[in-house]
Amino acid sequence: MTDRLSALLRSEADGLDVPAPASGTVLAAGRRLRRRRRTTSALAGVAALALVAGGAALTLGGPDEGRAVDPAGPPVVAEVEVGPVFSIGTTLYLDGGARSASVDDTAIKSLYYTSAGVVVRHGENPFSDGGGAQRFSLVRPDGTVNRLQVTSHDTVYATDPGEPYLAYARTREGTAEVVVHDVRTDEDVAVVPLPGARSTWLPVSLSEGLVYVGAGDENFVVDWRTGEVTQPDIVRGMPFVAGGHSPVYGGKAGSSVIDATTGDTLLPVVTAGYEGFFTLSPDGRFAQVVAEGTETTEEFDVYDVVTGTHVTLPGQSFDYGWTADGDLFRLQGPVLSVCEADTGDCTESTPDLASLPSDAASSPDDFSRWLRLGGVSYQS
Amino acid sequence: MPAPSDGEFTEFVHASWASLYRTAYLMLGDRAEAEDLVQTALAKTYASWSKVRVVEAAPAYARTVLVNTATSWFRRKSWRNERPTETLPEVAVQHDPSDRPALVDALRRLPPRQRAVVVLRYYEDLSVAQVATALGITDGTVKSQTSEALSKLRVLLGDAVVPHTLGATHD
Repeated sequence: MTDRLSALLRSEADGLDVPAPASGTVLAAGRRLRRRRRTTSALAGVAALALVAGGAALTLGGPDEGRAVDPAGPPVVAEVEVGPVFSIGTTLYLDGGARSASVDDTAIKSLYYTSAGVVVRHGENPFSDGGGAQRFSLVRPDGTVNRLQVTSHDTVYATDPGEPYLAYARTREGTAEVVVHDVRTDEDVAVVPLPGARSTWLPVSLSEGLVYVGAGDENFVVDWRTGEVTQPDIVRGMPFVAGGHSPVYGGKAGSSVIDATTGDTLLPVVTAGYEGFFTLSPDGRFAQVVAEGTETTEEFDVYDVVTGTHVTLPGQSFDYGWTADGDLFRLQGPVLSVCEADTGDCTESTPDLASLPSDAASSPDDFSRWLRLGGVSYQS
Repeated sequence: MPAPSDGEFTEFVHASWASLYRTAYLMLGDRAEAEDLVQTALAKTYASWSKVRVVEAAPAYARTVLVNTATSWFRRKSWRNERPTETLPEVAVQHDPSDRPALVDALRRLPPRQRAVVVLRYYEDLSVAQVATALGITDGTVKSQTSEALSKLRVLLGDAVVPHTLGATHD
């Protein structure tokens, strides 16, 4: 049977005036890209052997730190969309429910977007604070699941959706240090000491190659590829940085969004009438207003951080998660709503789910229908 | 494979350029953006040449890089100004099937992934499994995206172009 659509496509394509191949431009760009990738790997390799003056040591390697790092580095994975990601019980749904994967544990605590897939934090219960042991698995866009070697208790983790790393901080032998773990290879690629950090609770945020560490009254910024540690005193307290942007909580005076590197105010908004704060999309492009206090709202605003324009979405902000690229979504019973943050347009679908989310449980230890949304930290 | 010589890679660029450009144009609907996309995809292919196991696999690898790069471009804010409409005409518009602007315009009105699926299946003539591999999605998602895309194209281009049995027989 004549495939009319195929014929039309070929006719359209064959009729194109194809420009001459720009092989010189391609070669130049390819060489620059190769040099950039080699520089990144080389810095990691050199730092494994270097001792920074002052006694701070930057080491690389896995749990066995004597193991050499492969200088070629892991393969770069092309980005693949995972769309809206959520879990019900220990079933993870990707792309709004188009495919699913099962995590072998009792409960899922939270979901993190990376360029390699979704990192799932899981354990004996879905709780973060005082929730006991935390275990991690990588769920790739095709649904395959790999358990990661990372385990801990009460540690705040962070990812950048544009990179394949999981970052966190820990204290070893009295010294605080930042760890960056490549979820593709399940190996640590950097361990950077934080000399002088006194706090034992070290929440982190990872954005654009920098690890932001909140350490009590101190805050650190770690360029993990170079080992440079600074204290610019721009992002303070519990760090939340996405796409280089960071929300600043101002209480009743209103909250804002700043550039995490310069401190410049990008989005000044006064949330008049109620205390509110911003949560950012995983890519930092949009800021969602979350209302605090006793008032409840039936709608909330979402701002474009750069332009300052906003849209109003239905429901409560707490009900929504984020996709890696800035769409908001919520699951109400069987209905999945996905809303574009720049237009406010929402579409609904009814994905094929094995079970529906519910807060009701047959027993205190039954977490089989607990809902977790991508782009929400669930950590305080 | 070891890095190609400049001559070898230039030869590869010349051999694959036109084909990649045509695919890029169908996916993006803009000539300048298509050229930019092909250059970007080939530069990435050069930088990742070690992942190409045999030289015969290079064209397919470059095409995968091109499709994935296009998909990531669609997520950028600037691309969202050109957004497929969910409001389709109630009745299929009867276009002249040889009306080229209608075809490209119809493709532009598909969401990025559906657009990619249509181009890969009906222009590149890839199988469901090959499209799934190229896009990093499951076979089931390819089929569902194909079905949705064809439904939209049927409304935009008419039954003469997209008959109701097309999706069932193309596998």
